[in-house]
Amino acid sequence: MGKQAVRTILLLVLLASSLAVAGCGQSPAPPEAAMADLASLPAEVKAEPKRVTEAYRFAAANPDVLSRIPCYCGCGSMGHTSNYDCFWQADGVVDLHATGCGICVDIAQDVRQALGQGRSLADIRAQIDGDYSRFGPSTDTPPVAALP
Amino acid sequence: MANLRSLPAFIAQRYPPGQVLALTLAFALVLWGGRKFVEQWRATLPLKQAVLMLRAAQPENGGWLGEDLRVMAGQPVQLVVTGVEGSHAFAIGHTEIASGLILPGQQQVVEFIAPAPGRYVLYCTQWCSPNHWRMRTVLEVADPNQPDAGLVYAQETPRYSLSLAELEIDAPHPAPIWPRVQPDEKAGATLWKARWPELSPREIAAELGWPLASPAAVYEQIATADASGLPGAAELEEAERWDVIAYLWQAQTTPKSLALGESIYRQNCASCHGEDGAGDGFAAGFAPVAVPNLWNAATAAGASPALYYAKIARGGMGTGMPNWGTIFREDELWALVDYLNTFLFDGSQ
Repeated sequence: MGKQAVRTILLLVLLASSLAVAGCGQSPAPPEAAMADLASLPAEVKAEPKRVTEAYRFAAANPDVLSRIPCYCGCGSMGHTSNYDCFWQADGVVDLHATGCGICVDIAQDVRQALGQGRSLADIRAQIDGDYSRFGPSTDTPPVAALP
Repeated sequence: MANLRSLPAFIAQRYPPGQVLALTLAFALVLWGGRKFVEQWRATLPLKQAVLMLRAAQPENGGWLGEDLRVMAGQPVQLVVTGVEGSHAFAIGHTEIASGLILPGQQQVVEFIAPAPGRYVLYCTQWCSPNHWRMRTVLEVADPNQPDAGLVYAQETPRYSLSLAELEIDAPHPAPIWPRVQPDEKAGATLWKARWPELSPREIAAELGWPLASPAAVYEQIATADASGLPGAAELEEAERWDVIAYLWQAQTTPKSLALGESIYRQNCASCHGEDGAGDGFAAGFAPVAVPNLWNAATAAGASPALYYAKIARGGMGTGMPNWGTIFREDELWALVDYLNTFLFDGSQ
């Protein structure tokens, strides 16, 4: 490689990094959070209002996310270990608990919105803790860092 | 074009790398500084009005439909809500922003200045369906100086430092003892003035454990000859002791707070809990569990103000009782608690 080529490359790299420093680059919009099909929900959940069916669909498609988010509705006393458990039991069996619960659905919807805004799971968990821990006891939820 | 394409090579040939590096860094610095300057200059300009459009459908069909609601703190906002089906109205928690009735085909236009940065719950205030309580959405108000910062729900410093996580919110709260006739707050006030004119009912209530103690727990304390800050209370008749407790409870609130609590109760609670708290509201039958009778002295006397507060803020665990903690301000939650206490203690209600 000739001296001139090296200089040209160096110049281009510097120009590109200067533009990056100046912040002219635009990051792409984060993708919408994944959702399971409405048709895949059991009939008793399908009959629920949209805010609730959306939460069930979001939970079904994002078990890794919601299983790292605590619930503050008091369901730890029922053996729940995360917000995910308010919607689905092991082996994909539906749990109807969230159909009568305000906080469970609000937490799942807040997580869904924050995920769609491209926030990190650690940030989202901090947000949920900040918003809901003043209302009730937390479930014993594994930390975000324990993700497989 | 040929000249432009060979420009980097031309520069590289003509100037030493050190100079190119210095110039590039200077260029980056000017760009960065310029951007900061423009950002700061923009922040001094009045924010352009944001126009937000919502459609109001039944909660079964999505409730509040439309784009995400996101504005900047201090920004003038025009919120246009068009009725699609059912009749609705909205309020935005932690603010005084509220609409009139939204009927199908009609529009409500509400203008306001966006409040401090945070998340705010926009909720339906007109009973519209058994799923009325699910009709909520979020208004996000970003900080113009940090538009990408994370946001939490608007919240105030708690009035009391209660460890809600330690309250047994879902446990039954039967009272070991309760008033057999409705206590008379005025008779309690008269007794108080005659026996303890120098004592402050607020301070004594705090000594007796308010707001964590239930009326029944306070009754048991003052009925014990030497265990309370109310000397001589043990000598009173049973009904008189309850009158004193009614006075103690009502002395923790104000007529203004009671009026606020009553108005919030009528708008948001009465459809299930009933106009007078008997659990017989027109929508009570839709709840997954029986709506409790708040007049029932045998359980009401076992409920501390803190327990009522926690139940309202968190909502029921699978019972269909909404969680109001992200909607009502601290003073509104306590106003509701004060109003609920009148069911047990104020015969005039």
